[in-house]
Amino acid sequence: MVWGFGAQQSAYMFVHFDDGPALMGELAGRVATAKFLPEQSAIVNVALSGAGLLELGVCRDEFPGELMDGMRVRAEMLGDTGPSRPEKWDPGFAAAGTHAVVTVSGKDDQAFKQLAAETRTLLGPQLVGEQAASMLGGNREHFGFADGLSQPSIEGLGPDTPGQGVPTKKGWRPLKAGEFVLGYEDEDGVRPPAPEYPLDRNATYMVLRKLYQDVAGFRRFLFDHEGADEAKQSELASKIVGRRHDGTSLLLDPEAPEQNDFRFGGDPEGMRCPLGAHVRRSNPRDALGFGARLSSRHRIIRRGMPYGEPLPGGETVDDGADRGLIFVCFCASIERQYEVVQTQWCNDGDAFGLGREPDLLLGGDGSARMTLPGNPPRFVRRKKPFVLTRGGEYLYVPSLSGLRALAGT
Amino acid sequence: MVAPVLEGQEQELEDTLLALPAGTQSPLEGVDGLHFARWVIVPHLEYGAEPQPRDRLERQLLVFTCTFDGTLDRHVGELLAGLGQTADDVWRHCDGWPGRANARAWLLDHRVRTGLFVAAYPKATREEVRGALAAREKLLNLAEDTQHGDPQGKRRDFLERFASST
Repeated sequence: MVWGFGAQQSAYMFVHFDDGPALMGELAGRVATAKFLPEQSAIVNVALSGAGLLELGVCRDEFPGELMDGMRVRAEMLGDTGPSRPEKWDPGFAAAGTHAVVTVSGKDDQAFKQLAAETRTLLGPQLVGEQAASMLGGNREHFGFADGLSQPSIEGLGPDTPGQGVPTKKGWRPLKAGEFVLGYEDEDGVRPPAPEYPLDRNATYMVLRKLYQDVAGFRRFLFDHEGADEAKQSELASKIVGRRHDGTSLLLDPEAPEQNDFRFGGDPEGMRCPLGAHVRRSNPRDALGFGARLSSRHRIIRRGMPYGEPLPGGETVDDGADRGLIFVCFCASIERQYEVVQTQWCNDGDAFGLGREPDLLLGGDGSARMTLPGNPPRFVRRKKPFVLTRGGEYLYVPSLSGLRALAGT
Repeated sequence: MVAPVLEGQEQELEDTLLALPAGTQSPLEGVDGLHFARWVIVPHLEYGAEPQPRDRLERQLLVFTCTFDGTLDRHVGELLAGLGQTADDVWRHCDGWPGRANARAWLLDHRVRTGLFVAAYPKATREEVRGALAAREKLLNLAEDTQHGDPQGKRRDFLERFASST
């Protein structure tokens, strides 16, 4: 979770227990551990929903309310309304009552297929749905942008890459591990709230969402605003996202070697990277003022992957295919970290002095305006969302000892 | 202000708060001079991990915070008048609530002195804030609608839309 595996494809398997403890016992012998990660070409992980935890006999009060309620209960607050409301969600993706999500990920096609087949056999009739996902060329997502570039640096775990942690006066510092893993000190200097031993350590919370992307709609929007000029279309798309298609920062020279070592403080009016651009909202760095005091407790580790076949380049008519992103993130508090990013920063513009303007790429369920600062400023408006929620759940990812405890062994 | 919740009434209080309408239909909307307010139920104390000592609440607590125009004395009257029946519906689940007709002293008795006070707009009244937000939205709509127009057209639209404001 904290290092990433470098998977090229994943299968998200949705499970309804026949015998939960027995399955936990089986999985405890198979799930990936960080220690052996580099040696493996395919891995399996397990995450449990609130319903699954209750089925396994845990005490409801030990876990956060948002996990036990589930994502459907939080849908309206998350902005999953209108065409994104739960009634429209894919019934095969984390359907209501799903107990667990078993994820098989692979770097190598053959190893992945073999492990996925073994896992399906293990799950048997408990497997009630499955979602495939695979990387697109150049680590791009379906709108054509390089994705997953900015991940938090974590104290004691791996290199402290500039731009990944918390901006300080002198440079950058890594985030405390307790922001992402239960049982460790967090940015507030304490260990995050956690369930009882042994579920209280080396565990995390996971947000899983299926986000449909209307690629043809996004391309038509660019055409409607910029005509057939591809350079202008690309520039407008980059302003909406906040990075160029290849992932380089709008605040840096595209040839600069460190494309993540930037701050928004040098661009306070958003003349280069708009105040409402997607990456500026979802990871504001120093954009909210007071250094990073207002943003450092709302970081998430993202481990998403595209699903569906890409729409052929230049095509602006929807082919009806299902495509988008399986959004996955990890954090120590779904409410404090993920939900703040989604509801306060993406779905609303108040934190950035933008009134009610949502993230044009993600937020809101209808027409929306985006202000592109300039002299004079420019305003663009989408008629309907480019991204729709098609399913999702909040999950708890136990440690190996936690899995064994849930198995009763 | 902080008040202990009557034992056995915790769920009813939570249901009452969850059922309150939001937005312009909120009962708080009718309270003159009120900028921001919220009720929060504190059901238990968070426990992180060792070395934090375990501690527990004897009773759940209902916390009410608000920022408002004018003096506290005036605001208490405006709050009770504006909330009307909602004041009884919410606070009747707390210790010693005397009913809204006699609640002034009860509210002040349960007030907790504020250690750090933050108001988003400390020098503007609620009406001034709302007026400014409406003007901002109006101006942005004008800028969006006229961005491709010629200067004369922009001027004409500005005068038409803002004539009553000047």
